[in-house]
Amino acid sequence: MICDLCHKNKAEYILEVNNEEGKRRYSLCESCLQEIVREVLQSSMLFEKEIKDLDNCPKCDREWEEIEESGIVGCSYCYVHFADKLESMISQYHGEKVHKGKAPKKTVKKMENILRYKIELSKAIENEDYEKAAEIRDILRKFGKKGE
Amino acid sequence: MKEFFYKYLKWIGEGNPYREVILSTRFRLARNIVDFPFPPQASTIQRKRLLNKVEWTLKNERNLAQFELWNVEKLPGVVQESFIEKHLMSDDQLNNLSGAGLIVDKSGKLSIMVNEEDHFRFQALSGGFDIKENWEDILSLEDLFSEYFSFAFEDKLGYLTSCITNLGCGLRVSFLVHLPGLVYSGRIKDFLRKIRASKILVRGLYGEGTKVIAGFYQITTRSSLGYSENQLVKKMGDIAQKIVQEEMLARELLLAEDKRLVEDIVGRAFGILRHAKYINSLETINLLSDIRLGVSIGIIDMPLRVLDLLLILTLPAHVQLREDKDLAPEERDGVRADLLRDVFKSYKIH
Repeated sequence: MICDLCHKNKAEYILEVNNEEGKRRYSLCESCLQEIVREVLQSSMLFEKEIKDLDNCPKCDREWEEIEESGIVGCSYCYVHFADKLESMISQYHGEKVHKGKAPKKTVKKMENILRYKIELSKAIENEDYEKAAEIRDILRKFGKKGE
Repeated sequence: MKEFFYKYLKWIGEGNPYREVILSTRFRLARNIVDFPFPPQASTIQRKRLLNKVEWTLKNERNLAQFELWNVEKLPGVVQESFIEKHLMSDDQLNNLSGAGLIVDKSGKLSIMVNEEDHFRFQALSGGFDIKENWEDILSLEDLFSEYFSFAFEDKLGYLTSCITNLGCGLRVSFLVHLPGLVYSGRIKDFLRKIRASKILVRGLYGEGTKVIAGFYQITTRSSLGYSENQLVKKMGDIAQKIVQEEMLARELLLAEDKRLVEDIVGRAFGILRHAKYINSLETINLLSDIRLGVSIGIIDMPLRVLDLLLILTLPAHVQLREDKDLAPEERDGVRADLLRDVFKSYKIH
């Protein structure tokens, strides 16, 4: 049997290709088979390289390329994940600067507190413990007043 | 929709110094929540979830009772546009409407854009030059929100923002200034070069990417990383006062050189505004700019506040709100001219 590709050498191998068009069989000689294997390996290495270049933030999935193009990051973790790459972009715009302004307050979780008291209130009402319910209502009323 | 015509414009007010040159002072703070994708990266559901959380906060926090919350997506287009004309929202806010919100107090002085480029954009607006009260107001509003939301922050970079240009304090201090003296005397180019050299941004009437019209410029902080808030506010305050000095000097020189010419410019503007039957918004801005100059040099007695209001009320969305219907451009030009004739008949030119 002659090789299906070069039509010269004797075919020693059978290559079965299974794709969308269905199964096809090729009879190949040693050198044509090697050529094909080399090409396949190369393209798969290329593919791997592309995957490596596509650097995404593990938290929000934003690609580095998008950030580089727009100067817009995807989430606060992007500043951690892309710290090295961002450093030069940031100093290019702002100069070699470090934050000197205020910092956020150690947050009081007001939302959680209000929710917790609201749940307690409905429980107290359910249990007909009106004294406790009135107490909680007073606490809830205090929310929103300055200094709370 | 008529109620939106005059709504949220009390901030223009009166008082505050340097009104002849400074139309308004604006403070803006960019804030984001930790562990939540920033709006440009967030999904529709995530954006809406934030808006829901904000709505809950407004209902539960008594100190926010004077604020109204608008789900921008649900507003008619003309109202959305009018919020931009009122300087409460940016064009960008309309690019992605899902979860887009606007929180605003009745005077329009304090507002917050939700889900614009950052989760929160706090804003304090004042007519004229005001770097004290404005600053205190915006800080206490931010403080209230910080009790409900943990803001993304890092020691070296400061407040973490969507765009790297806003890192640091996340603060922008801006002045909308009117510089006809420098424009008419041809000294504006040199002047702007000097301003830009001190790392200040110069933009058009409606901020980033908008055109400069009729000598109206936005002067804005370029970077807030590496400065304390007080340093930034002081620096911008000093620059604003220098701008006022230079512009007033330019106006004096202009008058000394050819008073009749300036009177002619102002007189023609007055004539058109007083008698025209059709007028488009660009021409209106240009003419109101000349009238503003006329008031400052004493040829017209008219409160500057009225002119600054007219600069907003004659814009396309506002004209349609006033009539409470969609109008074709030519119809708008007619309605605009009617409004202007009506206002200007109460004033005289010397």
